[in-house]
Amino acid sequence: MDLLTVAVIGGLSLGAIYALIALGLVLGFRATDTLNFSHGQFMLLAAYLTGKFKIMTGLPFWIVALAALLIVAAVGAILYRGLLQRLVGLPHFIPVIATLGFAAIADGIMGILFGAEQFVIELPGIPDEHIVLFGARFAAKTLILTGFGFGLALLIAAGLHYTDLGRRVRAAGQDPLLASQGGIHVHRIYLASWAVSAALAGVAGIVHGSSTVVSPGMIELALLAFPAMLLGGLDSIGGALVGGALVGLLQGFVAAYLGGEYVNVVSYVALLVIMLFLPEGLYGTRKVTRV
Amino acid sequence: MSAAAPALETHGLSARFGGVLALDDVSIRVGEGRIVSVIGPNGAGKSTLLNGISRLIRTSGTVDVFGKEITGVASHQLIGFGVARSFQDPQVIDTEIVLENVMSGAYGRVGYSLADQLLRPRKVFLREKAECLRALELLRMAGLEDQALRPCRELAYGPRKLIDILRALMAQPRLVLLDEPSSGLDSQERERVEVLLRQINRKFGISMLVVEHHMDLVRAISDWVIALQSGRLLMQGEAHAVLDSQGFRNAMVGAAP
Repeated sequence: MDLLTVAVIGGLSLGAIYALIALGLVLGFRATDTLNFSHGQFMLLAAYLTGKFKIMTGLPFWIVALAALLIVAAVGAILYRGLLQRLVGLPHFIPVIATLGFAAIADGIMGILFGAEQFVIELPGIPDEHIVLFGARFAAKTLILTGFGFGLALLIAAGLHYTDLGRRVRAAGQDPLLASQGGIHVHRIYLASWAVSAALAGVAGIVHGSSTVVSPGMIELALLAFPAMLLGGLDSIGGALVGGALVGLLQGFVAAYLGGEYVNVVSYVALLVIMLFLPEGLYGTRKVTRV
Repeated sequence: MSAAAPALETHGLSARFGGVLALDDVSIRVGEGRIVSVIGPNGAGKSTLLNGISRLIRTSGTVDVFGKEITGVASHQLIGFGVARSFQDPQVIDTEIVLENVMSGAYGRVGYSLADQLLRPRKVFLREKAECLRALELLRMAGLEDQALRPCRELAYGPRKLIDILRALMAQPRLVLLDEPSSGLDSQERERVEVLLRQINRKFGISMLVVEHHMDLVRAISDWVIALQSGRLLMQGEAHAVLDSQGFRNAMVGAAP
């Protein structure tokens, strides 16, 4: 029973991070049809900046985290405006390769700026206690962050559904020409999508960094979110949440019952199986151009 | 602006694609409430003219709608000037049903805030209902009301073409630009387009600029006809005057030796 609880709670805590990452990836994909291979770099940058600003300024966590997220959102907007907007209409693999190039540049710059520094992000106001659930002990922080991750992902998904900005984002993703004729400034919406996408990656980076340490290993997490995104359907907002939770749970069960060393193998096998048998995912709505 | 301002006026509109002058100094005018057709052989610059007016491509020259210059305006702002358009290749969202596709044209006109949705659901419901009824009325006029709940991906080319036109009309524009509304339609569907455009024009006073290949339709609906050839204005006048002229025949089929 306690192993099952560990698998479920551990899986969901990972799933919350994956949901945030996948939601960001979906937003970028809906805007420009680009699978962003530099999403992990946005996560790492936000976590680095939060850790660095905290040490440099000593300001409260919320202020430094907000500053870090604003900077990361700006970098996301620059990636769109400076690079991806100019590549619209070219074969899909070109912008994808561009994001890989951007990732390599970002890696290099972050290496120069932050070197081998490691940061620990302390979240204020979270009790340093453990809670026993169904016979297993969990850090209160894990449970709170899991709730926060899914809560934020749900909030964003609801915002995309119910607000006018959300309607514009969905319309521009569905049919840019029709959206523009309906009065929607498509490029501005894409810019906002990429900024929010980067900021969501940043939130995931900060959340993950607060439960471990901030180091370049975090980037791999963004790649591990690809199965979640694919499972949900590349362009489905709700699918990102469901896919994130399912892949997190899968990893939780694999870690609990088979051992941590199997997690990556099983995750990427799952990715291949999804691509073979369910290429449009659970909720993907349109024909997807595979890259 | 003044009541005398025409629905559309272009002055010296030119567009160049690389070395090709696709549109060469074209000045046209659509009087308010009029249906004006643009005809000409393939490559005459008809669609380029429409794309230039709807600011989807860069042009030199000026475009005015209802007395306001829109030359420097972005395409997405055009709906704010009361201009909507349909496309030669119908723009339809396959995953949505017919009714939703038509209703999507109302987006720029009907908005409600998050607060309305959460706190005033009745207001939102009534507004959606009014638009839904309007869309159904348009679908009825086009003879498509029994298709309203079908997903668009199941539809043939003809109905898709009509849906694209209805979507543009749903925006309640004052001027509508239609790019070959009857291309790819059978004779029955073409008749429906003819009736629909006349009804819409008469009932709502919507001015129309119609690019069209089918001369029977041009003859039936047009108050004025503009003939283009190789990007230039060849001639203009009332439908019979242009269509029956030797000059236009020569342009279409080549001059007799």
